[in-house]
Amino acid sequence: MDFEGFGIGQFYPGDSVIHRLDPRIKVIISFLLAVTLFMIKNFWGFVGIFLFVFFIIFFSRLSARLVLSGLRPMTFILVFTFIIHLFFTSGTPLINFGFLVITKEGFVNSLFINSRLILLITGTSLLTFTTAPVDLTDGLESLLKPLEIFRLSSHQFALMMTVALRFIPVLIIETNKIMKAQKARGADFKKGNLAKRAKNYLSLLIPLLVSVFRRADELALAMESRCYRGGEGRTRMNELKIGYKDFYAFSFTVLVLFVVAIVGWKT
Amino acid sequence: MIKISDLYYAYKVKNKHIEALKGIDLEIPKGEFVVFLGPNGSGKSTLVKHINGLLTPSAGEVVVDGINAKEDDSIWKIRQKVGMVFQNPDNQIVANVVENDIAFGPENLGLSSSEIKERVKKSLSLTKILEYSKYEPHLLSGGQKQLVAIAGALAMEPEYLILDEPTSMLDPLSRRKILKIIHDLNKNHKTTILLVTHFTDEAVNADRVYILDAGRIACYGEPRETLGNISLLSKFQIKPLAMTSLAASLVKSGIDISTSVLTVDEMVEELCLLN
Repeated sequence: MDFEGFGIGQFYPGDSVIHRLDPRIKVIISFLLAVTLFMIKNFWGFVGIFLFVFFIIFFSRLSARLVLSGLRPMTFILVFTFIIHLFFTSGTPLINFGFLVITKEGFVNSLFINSRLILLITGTSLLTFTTAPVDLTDGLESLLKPLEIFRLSSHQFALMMTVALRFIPVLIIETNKIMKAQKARGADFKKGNLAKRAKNYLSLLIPLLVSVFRRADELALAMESRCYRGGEGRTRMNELKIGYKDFYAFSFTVLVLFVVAIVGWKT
Repeated sequence: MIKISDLYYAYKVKNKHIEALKGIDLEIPKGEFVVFLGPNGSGKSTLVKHINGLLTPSAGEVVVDGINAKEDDSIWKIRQKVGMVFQNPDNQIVANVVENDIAFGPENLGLSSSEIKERVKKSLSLTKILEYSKYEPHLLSGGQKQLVAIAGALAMEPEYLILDEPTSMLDPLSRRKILKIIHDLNKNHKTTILLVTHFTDEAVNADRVYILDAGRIACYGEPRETLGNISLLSKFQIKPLAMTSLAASLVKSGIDISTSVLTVDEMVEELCLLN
């Protein structure tokens, strides 16, 4: 299994201003960015967001190429939506290919939708690019605290996320190992029709599932022997603190996005 | 001091009643280095799991420094006193960064941020993995991961440290390194060590060796009394030390040396005395 080149969700360590912002502020900024993107309806609105995203990339000191590489897995969706909107929007005809008609509205529409998607992906992926998973889970735990009035434990959510992140590489290695072991016993994961292949994958899934349960059991024991008893009375090594930089970043974002939203509101 | 008296543990699997421990009595004074040997299924792991309250006795008592593990609210006090390290390091590391994993225990204890940071640093330097503090665990070797697990237990500042076959998945070099660190903890930091192992050589420098068989303590004593007794070891399918076997063969072929030789140095000394 090859998981390389899968840019989304990866963290690129660094020491830029953006890297050092409080993860909670970064989550909120990403959220506001996404909301504004869906509010704007004209060219200048998109220019505004583009400049804002570009500004963040510049200050995060990540290469633009790296940030754009996050778009690669989305190429199909981008091309697909572009074509669909290009040909299937009614309005003033621009070019005529017999039964296929490109309209002026279709062209503008597909450009806007694609800009929206591209800016949304690059803008929000900057969050994971510049925030370590540990900080991100800490931030989400803190942001989701208010959900506790509905008896949802933000601590449990954060712990689940941490354990999942911790075990993804472990399970990828394990999957590869079992796959090789089953191949050595004659299993073929590539040949045959769908039903046959599905059946062969069963020989991979069952041992994997058994191992996951065993690991979960042992992990629970290990956690218990380290005095884990849920979120109650638990403290954190890294306490999140909002500094003046976070305050500036937040105020700046709100101001910029507010102006962009007003300018981009009109169709 | 750990005091276990008349400990029984039984469980049911598919209506079958299985007795894993059948009346264990033992006392481990503070500061000792104790090793548990025994064949698979002899009850070593089950026994040590009682000491930090992961298992509750079916009958009998486990008392750590005067605290009885049976009482519900005392279990957390005992777990803080008795650290535990398991066989597979991959299944005991919780967080996805080394220092955050080591902080997991102290965080559970509700310590202040500065105290946690101090403990993490101390544990990392005790286990000599300070340079890996920011690593993701899956990038470390098996031995390094096990050191992270040990550091995670040490961050709770336990007085007793149980290690349940900590080296059985490691290469010989990592094995030696981990043993050195455990002995160092015992000598210089007065941590009582309870080591469960399959490797006889890991018991040579222990203060006391317990041999378990079928849920009972078959025998115990200093390493020389237990490991040096080949007929005793073979009775419980424990592989004797290389030098002890050699000494036994030499005696068999008529050379008059002590049969309870444990190390190469001792063997050299014995052979020199022959002239």
